[in-house]
Amino acid sequence: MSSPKILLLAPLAIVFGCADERPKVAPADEAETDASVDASGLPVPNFRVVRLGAAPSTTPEAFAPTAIVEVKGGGLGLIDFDRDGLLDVFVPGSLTLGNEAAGDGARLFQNQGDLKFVRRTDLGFDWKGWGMGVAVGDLDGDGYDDLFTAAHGPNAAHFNRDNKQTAGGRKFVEGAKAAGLDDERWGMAASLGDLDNDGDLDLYVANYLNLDLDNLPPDTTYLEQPIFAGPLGLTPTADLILRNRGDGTFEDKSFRSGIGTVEPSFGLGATTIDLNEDGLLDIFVGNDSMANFLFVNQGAFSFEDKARSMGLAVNGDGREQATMGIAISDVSGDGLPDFFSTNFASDTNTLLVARQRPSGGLSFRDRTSSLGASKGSRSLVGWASLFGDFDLDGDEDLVVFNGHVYPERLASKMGSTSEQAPLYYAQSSGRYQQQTVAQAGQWLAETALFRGAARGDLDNDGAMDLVVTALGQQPMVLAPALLDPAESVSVALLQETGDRRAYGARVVLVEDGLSRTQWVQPSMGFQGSGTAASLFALTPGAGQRWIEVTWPDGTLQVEQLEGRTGRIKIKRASR
Amino acid sequence: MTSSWKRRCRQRAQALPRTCVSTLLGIGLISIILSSCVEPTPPEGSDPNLDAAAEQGAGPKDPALVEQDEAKIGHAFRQLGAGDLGGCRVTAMEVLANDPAPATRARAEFMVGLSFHKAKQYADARPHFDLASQGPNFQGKLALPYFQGWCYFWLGELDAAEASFRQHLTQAEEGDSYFGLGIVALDRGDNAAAKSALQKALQLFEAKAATGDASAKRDLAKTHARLADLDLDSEDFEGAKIHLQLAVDLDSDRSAVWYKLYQVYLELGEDGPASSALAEYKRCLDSGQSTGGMAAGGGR
Repeated sequence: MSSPKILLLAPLAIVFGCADERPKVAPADEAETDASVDASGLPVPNFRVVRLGAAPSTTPEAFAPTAIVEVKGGGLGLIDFDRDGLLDVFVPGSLTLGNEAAGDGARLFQNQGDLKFVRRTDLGFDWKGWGMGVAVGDLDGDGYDDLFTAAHGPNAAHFNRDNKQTAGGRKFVEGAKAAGLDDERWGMAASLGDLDNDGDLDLYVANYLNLDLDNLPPDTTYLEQPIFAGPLGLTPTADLILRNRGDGTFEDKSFRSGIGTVEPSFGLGATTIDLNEDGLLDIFVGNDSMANFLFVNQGAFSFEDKARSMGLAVNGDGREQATMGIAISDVSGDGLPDFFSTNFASDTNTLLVARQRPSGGLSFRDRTSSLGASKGSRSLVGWASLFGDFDLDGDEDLVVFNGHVYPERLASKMGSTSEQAPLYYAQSSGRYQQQTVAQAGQWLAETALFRGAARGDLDNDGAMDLVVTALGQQPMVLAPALLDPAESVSVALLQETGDRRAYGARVVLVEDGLSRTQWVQPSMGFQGSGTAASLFALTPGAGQRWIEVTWPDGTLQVEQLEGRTGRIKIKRASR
Repeated sequence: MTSSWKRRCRQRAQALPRTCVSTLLGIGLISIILSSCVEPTPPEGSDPNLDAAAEQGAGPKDPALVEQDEAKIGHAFRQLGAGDLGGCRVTAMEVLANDPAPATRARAEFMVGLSFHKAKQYADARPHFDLASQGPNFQGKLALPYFQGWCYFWLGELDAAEASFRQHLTQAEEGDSYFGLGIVALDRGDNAAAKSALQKALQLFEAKAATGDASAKRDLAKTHARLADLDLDSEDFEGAKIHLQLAVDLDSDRSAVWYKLYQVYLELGEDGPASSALAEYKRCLDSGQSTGGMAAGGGR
């Protein structure tokens, strides 16, 4: 635990960084201020804000969407593309109807350390499309992470290749078609994982709905206002599951796997995790205004939806929700994964807490309100949500990024605004306490059309940073600024296979017999792919410490920490 | 004068078709309006600001015109009851455009607010409720804070919602507003306050049921369902089962209750009853007539 009275550095240092785009570097505000303290007396971190790249060509002020496709994009991926130990930021970008040329296109911001980023324009990113969710992983098993982008139109796959001509010796080549990854339906989000335990990464794509951009459906009416159609009233699209053949090419297993047996739904998010701890990764899919799926892996690449019986399909009132962002963490400290999802306005976000049924298996109960996780969310449209121990006090805090899909004239009829501020909750005594601007910093007052987000330690300072996108704005890095952070350990797993990051693995820190659990998540926030490392704040004075890793195939490995802190890498012992 | 106004209210209440009333806004809300219409209770004391406001405006209006406006308000009320929300709003707006007497203006604002409220347009309803609230007394005004309470609740303003429900309770001991307080407390995660408010609501709804009021069944059902939520939160699945079984006995068309019951049976390992509850849950969803969640409004 940190002292409740510590000093914070740079409460709002905004750095505009992008060397090849006439970088403007504002000096960091070095003023020291008293740390804020939450209701329990614990310090709340302030956050440095760093914006990436030049201002985009479209601005939120011009937000007047004419089709649903214009309001859904916001993906990003954190990738150490050159393996220099620093997470870089990839943004696929999106478009504006009628002015596709104005779109920013795919961009990669290289991390130069100390939260300085430069946009690399020589890495082969000439892709410009309706980019949505991003998945980061070694698709072709060559030892370097690649990028998959779900999109309206053909999905894209940028393979990370050797190239002697570029600084860092890497260049990306778009090769979705050759790899069998170029499905043309509207892909909204993607999640990777070794679903058949053969060592390579398979892929799940949550598809949204049928939308012909050349023949848009007529506007509809909501709250007596004309507005673009969808999702209700439009035709949902079936999802896609692709098996990696081991050579970087993929085969469509959607029908034979059982995924195709469910009714097509408005898929918005997906993530892979071994919920029943049987050594097989399961797939959770968040659907917009329809019941969610939990495809429990039956082995041999077959799946069965059990979301309803486990309590993950709907909220505690049996109501289907929008389910934009999905965040998973052990909120209650019992070693089981709890699910948080963000939702539309006039609804709250939802926290479903896992419980071991006496008869066996997990069930989930809606504890949103009783744990304080609904506060402030009812008037907002929630997108990315991320758990993380941002104040390094040993428990999982929560941040939610918001922003309407509707223009101001309609948002105001819902008692809100188009641009909305984030929500930040610190956990205290097992409940979430909503933090104020005075407590956590000016970033909490910043309104935008926020969408995607991912987390990762971008400055390698032992605290978890956030990267967030917003329509019509530059991506933004939020870095917790604690002058005297607690000691932490950041655990990165390594397998000598295509699934290098060990997606879905369970990582447990045990200190003096007490344990904390995290999962290596291939997708996070909304449309985001972030760090594969698990970060734990360490308890001062703890005696014995070790890490227990349950690899995606269920194999357990124990690693004694023996005084090690900071970044550690755990390599999988030989099978 | 008060007694003649009371008499007019009674006549008007009797003139309202009951079938129309039963579909209006659902559950006990209209009964609040009606009861306050039949037995209006002016607030104690007098607010000089309100009195002054009542004196302002167009001055004394031709009684015939006042009667005409009143008739239109009555028409708007019937339109609301028939589900013609747009028609209700237009009629009430016509009254407002006609420079009505202050009390009539307040009633018309209330009607406009109700038409938005019923359409779940809470942000649009709020300013009209506020204007109605600032106006002089009118028949049905006692129910206004109740509607404001739900309006604030769905806009996420829990403190204002609580204040409105409490204000309503200072004027009328109604189970509905205790229920509202219970929902606000649940939303805050304050289970102790929620339990207290919901038990009080249950008590009042039981008294209402004893009078033969048919709507009390649904009120009791929704309250039992929320009391079950408290049991679920503390993992008292047997306790939750009792409340939920009572709830479905009272009102079998609530998908939310069947869903909770389905989950409770699964927790208790009662797979057969779980399957039946799941089938009932799906029936409610498929019928499209589910009374849905336990509180009014919300959602796209």
